[in-house]
Amino acid sequence: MNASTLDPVLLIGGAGRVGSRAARSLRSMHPELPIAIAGRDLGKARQLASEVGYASAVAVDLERADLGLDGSAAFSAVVVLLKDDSLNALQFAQAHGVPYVAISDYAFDIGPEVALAIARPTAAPVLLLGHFLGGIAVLATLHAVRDFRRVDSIEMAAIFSPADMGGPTAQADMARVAGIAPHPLMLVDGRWLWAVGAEAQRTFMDIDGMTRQGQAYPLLDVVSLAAVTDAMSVRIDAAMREDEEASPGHRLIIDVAGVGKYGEPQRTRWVIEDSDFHQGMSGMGLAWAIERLLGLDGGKPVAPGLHHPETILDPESVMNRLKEWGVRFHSY
Amino acid sequence: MSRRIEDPVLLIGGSGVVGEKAARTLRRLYPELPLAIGGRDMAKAAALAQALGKAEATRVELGKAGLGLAESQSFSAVVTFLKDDTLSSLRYAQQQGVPHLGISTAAFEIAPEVALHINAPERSAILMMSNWLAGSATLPLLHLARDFATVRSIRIAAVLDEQDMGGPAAHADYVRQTGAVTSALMRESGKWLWGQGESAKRTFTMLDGTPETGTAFGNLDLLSMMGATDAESIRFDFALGETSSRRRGEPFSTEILLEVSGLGRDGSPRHVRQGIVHPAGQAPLTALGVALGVERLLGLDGATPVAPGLYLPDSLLDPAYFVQRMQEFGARFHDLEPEVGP
Repeated sequence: MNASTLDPVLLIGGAGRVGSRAARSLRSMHPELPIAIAGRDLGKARQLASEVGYASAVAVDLERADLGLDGSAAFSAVVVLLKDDSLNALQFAQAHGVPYVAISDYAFDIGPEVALAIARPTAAPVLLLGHFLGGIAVLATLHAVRDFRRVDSIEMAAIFSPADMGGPTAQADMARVAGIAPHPLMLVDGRWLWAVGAEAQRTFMDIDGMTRQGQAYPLLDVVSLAAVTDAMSVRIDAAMREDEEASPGHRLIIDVAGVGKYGEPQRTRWVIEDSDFHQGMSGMGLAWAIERLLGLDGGKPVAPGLHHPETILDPESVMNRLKEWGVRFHSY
Repeated sequence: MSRRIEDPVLLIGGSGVVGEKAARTLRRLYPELPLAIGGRDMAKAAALAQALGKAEATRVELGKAGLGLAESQSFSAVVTFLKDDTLSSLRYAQQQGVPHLGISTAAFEIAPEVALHINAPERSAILMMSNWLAGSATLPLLHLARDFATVRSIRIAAVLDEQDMGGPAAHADYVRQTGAVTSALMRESGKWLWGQGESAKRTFTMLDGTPETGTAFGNLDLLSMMGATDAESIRFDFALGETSSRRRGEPFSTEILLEVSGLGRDGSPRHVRQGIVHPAGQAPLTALGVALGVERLLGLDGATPVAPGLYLPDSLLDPAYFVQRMQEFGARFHDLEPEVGP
């Protein structure tokens, strides 16, 4: 697929923290891919569009089925970076037969999107990408388990500093979880459950020797990893560090336990660190997903149907690209 | 001509309250269809298999890879009547490449099952049939909606008699689904939201005119309505209480109240309300819904068996046919005056 011949990729909420990073990542990968940035603040969208180049700002009204656009508006993909309660953006993508990506869904709220994908199974690819770091956490974990004969448990921990709590969209998402489903989804000893109280907490040792207290989070990472690996236990926790700590701030720790190639017990710890962790990596993961959906990587465009990051992206190529981008990841 | 099935349909939890009724319903519809009654209590399963004929009792161990079944065993479909929180029954169906039907997953709980489908979309037809009483509200509602040009609002209320909670599987579903999330999914004026407190309560009128207050519940009926209509407002309310029949001194029944508003085919405002009652409670309707799901998945009705994919009941079953079967199996439909008010 030649990027320059495509209609623009529509990024709704594209002027926000993750969206602007995704736009820049897309631009650096594909200098001629047209991008349309929609945001509540059209001035901000215009400014980003002029910085990114070969991009336009558009006004989108999520309350309307036509998104408030004139009938001639055409896009190559519709990407939603905020929680679209109306799902008009998904229905718009289906009506136009172009891929749809949503990044703000937790494990408990994919229902209405899944319903639309079931009702119109051949209309459009629907990528559920509410996963941590735009799917990079899942792909890195699949890289970490590649030498295991059997995976028993996967424990992921995302370590944040108070300064990196994300923009207003990320904060609104977190408030939404607390209000709706305070009990996080996890797989424990082969059983899916909504953890209550102490079960939702996890104490673990960080790589700097600090003991951290994590709180489980209902991210789609757990269902993706359980489906692929057959692990008996899968969870992802978020832990906050103290701001005055000296070591680099944000990282993802992936602990895997299971059985190795020769039947021996095996444990591994992988760590991904980056100075520009949460928003930069999420933007990158999203950009790679968009590239793959459209076939901009030289492969075939992704077919209509429901998708998760692990079904469209290859862990090894993602890890190689992370290295090229200067992201540090290493095993312990 | 109906398709002949050699391998039994595996009914996991098939000797439970709803499972047994579903087995009997399938037997009534298809005298030759082989059935396997899976359960932990083998004596109970064997007794049911004996009574049904062309059936066997099968020990099923949920949580074990391959369900603890012999490799030589094969089934034409897997139906799970209880919440399999290990998902081993769905994985087993996928390994065998046969359809799976489940009835115990609320809308907020579907992600692990959806992920299994997404990672192996060509393996099995997966019918998520946890709609109220396995489609007994969804399909009649879509049948009512057929005379609308535009559907604006859908309200479903279901009253389960407190004496009709079903077996331990139904009770476990109720406890889990009302405990894990503290609010209920609903669609209001074109937006999905999670209602809490007073917004999750609704008072409606039962068949005998008695007001009842229900609580919004985010079950799969909402998802079916989202996929099958353009309704801007969709809600499902549930009340556990006394059904109209019991208030009259008769045995308990089950009541479903459907309400659709929008525009009719002639463009004029249209508002219809219908009540459905089954004099024997929820189990016969749930059992029938499951049987009709199995019938369609396997192509027992003479049509093509369902291809691998992810489905909700409205994406597979014909509303008029479903309603006709509900009537044959004892459901009574009552057209009601629309209620005034929001």
